[in-house]
Amino acid sequence: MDKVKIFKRAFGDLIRIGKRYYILFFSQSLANYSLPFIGFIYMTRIVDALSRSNMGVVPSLVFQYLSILLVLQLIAGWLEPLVDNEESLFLRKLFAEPNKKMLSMHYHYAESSEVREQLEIINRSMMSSQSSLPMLNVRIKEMMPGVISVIWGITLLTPLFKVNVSSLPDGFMWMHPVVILAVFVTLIGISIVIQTKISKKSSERLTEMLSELKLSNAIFFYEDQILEDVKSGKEIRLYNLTDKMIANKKRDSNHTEKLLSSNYKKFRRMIIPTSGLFHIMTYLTYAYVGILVLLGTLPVALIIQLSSALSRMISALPDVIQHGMMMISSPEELKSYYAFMDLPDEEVVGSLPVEKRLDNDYTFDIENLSFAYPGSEEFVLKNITEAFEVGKKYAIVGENGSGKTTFIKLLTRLYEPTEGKIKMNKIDTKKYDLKEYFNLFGVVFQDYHLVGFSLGQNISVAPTYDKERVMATLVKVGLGTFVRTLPDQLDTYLGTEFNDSGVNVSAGQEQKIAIARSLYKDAPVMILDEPTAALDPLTEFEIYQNFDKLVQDKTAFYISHRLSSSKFCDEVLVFDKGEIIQRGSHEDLVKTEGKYQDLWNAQAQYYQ
Amino acid sequence: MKEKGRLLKILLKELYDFKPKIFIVILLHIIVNAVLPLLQLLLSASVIEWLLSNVAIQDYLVRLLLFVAVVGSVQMLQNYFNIFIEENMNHLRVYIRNKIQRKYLTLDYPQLIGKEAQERYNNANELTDNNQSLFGRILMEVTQWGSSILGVFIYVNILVQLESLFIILVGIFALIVVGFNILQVKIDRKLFNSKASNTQKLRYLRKVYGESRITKDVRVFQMQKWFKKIEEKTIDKYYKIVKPKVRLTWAESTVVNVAIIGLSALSYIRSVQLIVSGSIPVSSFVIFAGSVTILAQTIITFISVSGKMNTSLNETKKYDDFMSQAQVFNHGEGKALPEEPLSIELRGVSYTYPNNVEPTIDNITLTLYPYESLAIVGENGAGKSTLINLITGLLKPDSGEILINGIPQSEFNIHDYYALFAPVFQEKFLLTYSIRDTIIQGLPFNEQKYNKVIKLSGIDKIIDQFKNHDQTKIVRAVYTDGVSLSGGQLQKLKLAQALYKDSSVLVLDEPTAALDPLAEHQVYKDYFHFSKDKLSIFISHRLSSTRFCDRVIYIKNGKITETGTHDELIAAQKDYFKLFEAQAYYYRNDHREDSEERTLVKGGVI
Repeated sequence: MDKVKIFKRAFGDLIRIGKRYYILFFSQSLANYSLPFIGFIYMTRIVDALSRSNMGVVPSLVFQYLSILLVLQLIAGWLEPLVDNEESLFLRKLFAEPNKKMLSMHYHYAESSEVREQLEIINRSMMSSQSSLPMLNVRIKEMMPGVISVIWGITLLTPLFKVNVSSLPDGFMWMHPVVILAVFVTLIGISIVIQTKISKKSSERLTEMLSELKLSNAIFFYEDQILEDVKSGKEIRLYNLTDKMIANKKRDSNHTEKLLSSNYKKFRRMIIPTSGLFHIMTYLTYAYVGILVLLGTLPVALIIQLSSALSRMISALPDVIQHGMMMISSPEELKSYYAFMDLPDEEVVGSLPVEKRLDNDYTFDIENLSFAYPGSEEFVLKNITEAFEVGKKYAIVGENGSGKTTFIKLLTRLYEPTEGKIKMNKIDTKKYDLKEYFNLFGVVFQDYHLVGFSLGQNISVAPTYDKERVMATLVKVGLGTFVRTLPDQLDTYLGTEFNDSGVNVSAGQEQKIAIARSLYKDAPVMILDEPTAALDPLTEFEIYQNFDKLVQDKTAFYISHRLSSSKFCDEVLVFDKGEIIQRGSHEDLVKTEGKYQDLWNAQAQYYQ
Repeated sequence: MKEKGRLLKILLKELYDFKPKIFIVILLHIIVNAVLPLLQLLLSASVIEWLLSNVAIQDYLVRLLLFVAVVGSVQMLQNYFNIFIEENMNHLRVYIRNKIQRKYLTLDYPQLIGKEAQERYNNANELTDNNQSLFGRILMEVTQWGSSILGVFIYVNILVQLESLFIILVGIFALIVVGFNILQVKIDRKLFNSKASNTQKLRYLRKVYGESRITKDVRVFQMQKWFKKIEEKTIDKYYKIVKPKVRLTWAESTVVNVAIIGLSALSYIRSVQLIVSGSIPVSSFVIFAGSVTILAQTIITFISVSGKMNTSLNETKKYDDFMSQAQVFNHGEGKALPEEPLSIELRGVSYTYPNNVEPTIDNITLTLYPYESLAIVGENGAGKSTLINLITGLLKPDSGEILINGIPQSEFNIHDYYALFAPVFQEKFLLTYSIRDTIIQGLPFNEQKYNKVIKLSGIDKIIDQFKNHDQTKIVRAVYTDGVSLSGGQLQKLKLAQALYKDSSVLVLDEPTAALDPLAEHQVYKDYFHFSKDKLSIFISHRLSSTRFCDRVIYIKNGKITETGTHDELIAAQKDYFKLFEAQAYYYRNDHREDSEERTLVKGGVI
């Protein structure tokens, strides 16, 4: 039952994502694969007329036939390029689905390494698992001609049952259609049973083979990626790895080849029963219809329609069954796909709009805040109660793992508190609309990233941007002259991966662009999470010097390993093991006994 | 034409090397493919003829049995060949792919670098991507091509009996199809770049969606709408790009289908006329009517496959371009490696990267003395790594020479030469090996040496934490039961690797860029400890190790601008001094409290 549900959902998703494609594809297939059957019908009628020497109707039959043929061929031909284009877009969308999910799921899933691993596995099995969405689509595509043929085949067989039984000679009552029908149904039944068994076996074998190949495939793709980066060639050559890698590759591909060969061997063996049965049935069809004709109960020409329809149908059946069995062969991977797709999205917990204030008067009060990662007992933040005033600059210092970044993630609501509350303007932040709440913050994360779209768009984070304002912001962060030297100015693409005409910018410039991005947002609260860690000393110094000017009257949080940054902040918060153990100005803290003073002195002892 | 012949020869030779018997199978497959439809038509026609002539039932059943048996056997053969070809498509693809990769691994390093070299490799590699790429489809293509030639011959011959005009009409039809094919090829070529760049965009978008490094930015800056808009725009663009192609295909399908209907009409009318006049039996209507449909289809196949065969030959050139590269270094007999302590001398060495104008290394003369430790300092892009690559023999100087104890570099066999150096690079590429295999790399396993090395490097303590000890795999992307090593653990692994190689020269190319200064200092202390009886070269960005080196050189724009000890260069107050001061500023006025190793996360463009 579960299986049915999950496949129903999978087909539903395929149709949802590829509606246009499927409509076009079904229409095209119908036109295309009906053609031969229309041919059988008219061939029968024309030969019938010819054999009865009823020449008068022949021209009109030929004309009818050719007209229908032309129409169907044109439909099929015209739809074909549309189907091709639609399909390539559809497949792109299908393959992007799991990645797209990463954008909308709750942040703490998106950042977890397990979910990452799941995504990687899902992406890898998209092409290999028999029941993944793209593979289901492939099967649908390959089943289509067969399905249409079977339907047409059954339709064209109807004359068989209109045989005038009374005209059968006495000794030939066993030729009664009912008897024959029973024989045929039995034969078809047997062939379906055989087919189903064979298909089941071969799909099992294929699944088995694929799982056996999983490891060597994974190795191959991984190594291929490494080889693509030429720099790996340095170590390979200097550490004499060439022969070892070649030997490993050879071993892996021999293994693959052996598996593949044995699979094909079994596959070849199936030709005889499948093909043999098919030809026995062809023979019986011709024999039966022929005898009926010779007995005078059927017109000669009908043999064309009946035998062709039957043989088409019988030859289509194995394919249809096989693809059908393949489709449903590995529901497990489909299940894990949906387990991933069902990870909760960013909940819209709050609905309260955030009041727009021109004076940027947003205050934050934190009450008894504690946080532990979901499923973990260990508290990363404990019992934090603090209030933050508008327009002040706060430095956050503390060792790695002391909870600084987690605190920022909670403040910006990327995480939800485990205990306690964060209030903004006296209201629990949970109640605010999350999207509007995000708008309060301009954040430069330590691992911020820009996208390969145009520079201007990267600043505005939108498809359009206000040229003057973007330019003014870039001038502010000291990129004015740089931008003016760019070939397309603000329309220049960053990097060359999205657009070949793009330019590569240096780490320092990237950093400044990231700062410009959060400034352009003009959010009332600025947060900088160690924004200079990866920069060379000179660029870092420049950014420090400028920062006060950039932030102006906004509330700002500044996380840094470098204590010197706390000098230009109004207050310093010292984090230690998930708690804020000290708070005050640099001047005060440095004079009082405690962690901050220890840190400062330790440094003084080293370098001064 | 001569070039085409050469490429054809290459292609045929590859097939022959792969499996000589493949040619026989292809030939048989071609015959079976061309003959089977005719046999099926003949079966229908014969049955009708027998029935019309009212044969006895027994007679009918026996004749039918014979005929069906023949058709059935031929069809079974066809099935068999189909599967045979399909199987060998896969084998051939893997066979060629292995050949390409083997070649790639045995090329010399200069043949890998630069855009052209990369393209050469990618172009060759792409030929084995899947069953639509050259080496996946070629067997099928050759078969189709042969069957369609034979098919055209057979069916034209049949129809000519009906009406001699057919040969001309078929010729005209073929010309029409050829014409459209040429137009299609032209339009494909014209659209190729814009289509490729559109595909590139969509692929990039997909990558961005799944990008782990952007999860926070996406949410706080609410980038979803932005991405969606760009995707929509890109898809709209796609429709626009393919529009001319769609139009052409419509025109083609209209003309070709009308022509097919015309041909059919002629064949129907002529056969009806002949039947009426009694010169052919009614049953032959089936043959003539069937033949015209098959012929039209066969001609279309023939022409499109011919076009594809042409493409295939052109693509063979990409394969040949890559495979015909000869190694550039000395892989033959070389001088014996010197036994005495090494000294390395660079005499007027210059090097310019392919497609660059400015030399990266510009006339450098430098001697490294036995057991010396040398620090190479300079800004990013100054040429430090390139200098290392030249010394270790990965690159060859454009001018000048490098001598080892007075013997020119090129006089050694390159593999022998590589044995002189144990490098640790900045980039850490992990292969899918166990810890042990990663330490020994391509060298033979020597238990005694190995045990000593893991103890010395301190990696034994790390290994002990793992259940599978040194058989633990280190690439989790491939082995889910593997471990992922932290930055510090990786450093130890690389140290063990370098120690196991036990070469005369230790080379460190910014191996610690991802560590913070204090952890970096620890790593250098380890290396200094082991470098006493070696010649060692250090590249360090952060300068924290340079003061312990015997000598420091400062490189600027490919030239050595300063040489001396750390103290001497500080006293000189030039570039080295400036770089050092900027760094020291933070050590003096600041403090990094986390002395533990930590991986530095960086921002950037995705």
